Amino acid sequence: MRSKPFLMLILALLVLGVVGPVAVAQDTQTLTVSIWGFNLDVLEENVFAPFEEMHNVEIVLDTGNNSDRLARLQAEGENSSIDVVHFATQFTYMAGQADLLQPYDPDMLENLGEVYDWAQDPLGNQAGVGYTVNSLSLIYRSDLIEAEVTSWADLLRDDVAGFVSIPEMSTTFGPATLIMIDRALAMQALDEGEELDEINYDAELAWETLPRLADNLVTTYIRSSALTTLVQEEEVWVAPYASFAVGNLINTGHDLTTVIPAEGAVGQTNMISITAATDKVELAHAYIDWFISHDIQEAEALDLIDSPVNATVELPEDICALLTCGEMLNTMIVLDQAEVSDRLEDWLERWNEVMVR
Amino acid sequence: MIRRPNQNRSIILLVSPAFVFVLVFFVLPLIFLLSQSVLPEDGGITLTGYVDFFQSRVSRIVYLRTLKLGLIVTVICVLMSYPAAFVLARMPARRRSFLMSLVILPLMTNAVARTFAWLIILGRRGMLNQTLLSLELVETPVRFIFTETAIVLGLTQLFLPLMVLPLVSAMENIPDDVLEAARSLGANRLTTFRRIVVPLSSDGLVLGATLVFTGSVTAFVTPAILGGARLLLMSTLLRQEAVIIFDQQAAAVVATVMIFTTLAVNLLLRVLRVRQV
Amino acid sequence: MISRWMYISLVILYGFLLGPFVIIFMASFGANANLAFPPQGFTLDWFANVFETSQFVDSFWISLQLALLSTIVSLVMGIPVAYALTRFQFAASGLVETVFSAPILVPGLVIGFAMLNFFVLLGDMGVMTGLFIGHTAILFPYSVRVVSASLRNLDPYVEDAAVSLGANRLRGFLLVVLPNMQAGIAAAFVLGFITSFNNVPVSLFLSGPGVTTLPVSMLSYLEYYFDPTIAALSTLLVIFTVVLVQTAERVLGLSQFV
Repeated sequence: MRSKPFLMLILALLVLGVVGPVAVAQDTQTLTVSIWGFNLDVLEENVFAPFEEMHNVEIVLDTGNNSDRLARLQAEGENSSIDVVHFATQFTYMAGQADLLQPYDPDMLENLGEVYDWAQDPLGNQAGVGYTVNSLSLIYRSDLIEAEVTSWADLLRDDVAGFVSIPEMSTTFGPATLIMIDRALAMQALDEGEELDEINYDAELAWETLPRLADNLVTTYIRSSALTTLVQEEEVWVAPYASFAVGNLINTGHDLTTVIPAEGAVGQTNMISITAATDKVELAHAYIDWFISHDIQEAEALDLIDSPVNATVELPEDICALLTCGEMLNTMIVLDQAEVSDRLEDWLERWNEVMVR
Repeated sequence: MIRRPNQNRSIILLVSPAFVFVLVFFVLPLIFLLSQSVLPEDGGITLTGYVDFFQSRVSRIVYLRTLKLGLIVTVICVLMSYPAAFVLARMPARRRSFLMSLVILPLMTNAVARTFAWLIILGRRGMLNQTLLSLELVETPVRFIFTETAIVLGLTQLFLPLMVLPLVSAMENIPDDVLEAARSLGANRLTTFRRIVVPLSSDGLVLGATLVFTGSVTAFVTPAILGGARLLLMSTLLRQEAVIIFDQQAAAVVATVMIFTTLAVNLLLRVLRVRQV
Repeated sequence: MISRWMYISLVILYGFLLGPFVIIFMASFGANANLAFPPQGFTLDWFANVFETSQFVDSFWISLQLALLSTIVSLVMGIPVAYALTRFQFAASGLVETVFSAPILVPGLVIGFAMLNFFVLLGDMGVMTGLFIGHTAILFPYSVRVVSASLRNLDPYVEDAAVSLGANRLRGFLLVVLPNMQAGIAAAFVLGFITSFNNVPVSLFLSGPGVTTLPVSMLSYLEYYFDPTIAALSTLLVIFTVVLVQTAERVLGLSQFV
């Protein structure tokens, strides 16, 4: 048997396997951060790398979308290795309800005073600090869609059929999309001069039209990154988008127009919380404090990623126009997370019923 | 075979480390999974998980869709491999062994890499649409991605080798003499194929079909990438129940249904195989 | 017996099997950052990007270690089983064979899910340990089956002869049986290595913070970017696999064991 070359090959693999990782492995303290896998390269440069150097710590990332990471946190419970976790408000709320978080100590966050009041403790009980705000509005291909898109109800239009995508119900903006479509339909039904103030959390009108909307869809999306690729590949022409994805969407190079629909945009804060399972409380606070500091907030905003919550950050007009900032902070609609969370389980089931076809 | 007085001790010594490993880390988790599907958090034993599964329109549609696509993929694989496998089996050994190593190649590359190719082929600006447009067969690009067609194509490419390999090895064993005898007795090609090649290679066919079907109905990567968030199959439904909806009992039910489906298919086709021989 | 259309079917088969690889190969050199076909221009940037993306580099090492470790352990435990199955007749041999081929019958995704739930129950065992256990378990069918296949070809009397000539059983095994199993063990090694290295469904559930295998990190990369980096990485992996498989095929005739 001519086994020599083969044995050499196996030997080479073995050597690689043993020697290779040595170059990679390091022996320092770690901080495990649970976060979306979006824009990690920019975050690495702006946030993680300097933090690692300052505190002589290695940041280990656990990435995934909100529900994915919440599920894992819940499954692992006290054994979880996650120290700090980034969630959209709704999921921070659910994690808090499941006793997965510990309250932060305001005295340990030097920069907290610079943060807008509403972001300091959005859910109460020090469940977490809002570190960025983002909003959901519409984006569309102005070169391919002739009539202007101005309303959430335009997603139902015939001329865009087959080129629409909306976020999955299980994502941050899934319920918000439905509630805004409902609001648009309700406003259309109003008589001249009438106004609609209350938000209808039951969204019955939207549910009734959802089968029709489903026919208009290319697919649903779970991650903003998926929306970006769908727009890049020209599969999607119009969709609700989250403001933190605007940089990526613009980078696709297509003729895209962003609109704040007549019924308004939906705002929400993303939060950082400390898990109940961690014992690295001090380091976790340092991480949060770093994220809400002036310099980081500014750098993230200039890269068109995270809209700032630190009031000392001043942004140029053109950057501000693309992010969730300035006047928009006063006009955007903020949903009541308790109302949304109460309905979510039922909605997920109804959603699947419609989407499965 | 060796028979020795202390045979039993040797066997236990040889087998037990691996046996205990598989028992603890493979069989036990599966038993735990089964128990999760029938034991709700509030105690007692219940089959409501299964009742819910088969009563829910969503899971019924997903289950039937999965079986349907598995069947389509299997049929396509049979049709594509049968004549080709025959040619391969009749080739001189050297050329055959080269060509067979090409068949194995896709099997040895990870599913993500292979599925990615289909994104390039099937996209709106992909190869297929560009070709159709330039041939003026269509006026506007056709949507392939996120459709059942995309999943079927991806799965077919993924599992084709599993049909070709057993077919070729079954057909290799058909002696040339038998075929020549049939021809000399006046049977035409089709008759020879139908009456001799097909029966003599049925073992390979059944094995291949089992592998392709069970592979297709349990594959995850292809439906996850080519089906999108909306076009669910059993595997993507399992993942959704487990990590997005976080209903562990429902997920355990989906998983158990997947196990029993593959076991049933294996058993059914094994019976078929025995009966034919 | 073989007509022209049968040759055509052969060409179609190979076109379908290998065409996607050609397309990946082309795309990995294209200058456009999207999936539009045909690719425009020529660049090696995507290959550079593979090596600059730390999630790929890190997970490559993890996958490599994991595949080597779990293949070796499953062989070390599996070879004695294969030996017992082929050398002794015993009542439970049917059961043993069934148990060791079971991991191939149960869908990978189900295995991963069941193991995750079970490991959580056992407490914190570390992500790498979980992955290692999962991969070792799914490799048993390969190590046991392939090695037994090669053992069946070995005349048991050769070993007995060695023993009767004065070697003890262990020496007989090491000097006579093991050298004759080389091909089978090597084939099982390659199959096991590749199976573990490419596995998605089991790793998907068992991966965790900081520890992700290469195929799973490719899958999650696809959720964020549709650029040809994945094509470039796939091209590299295909080359890696071709070298491995072709060497193995030349030396061992791997296709007979698949």
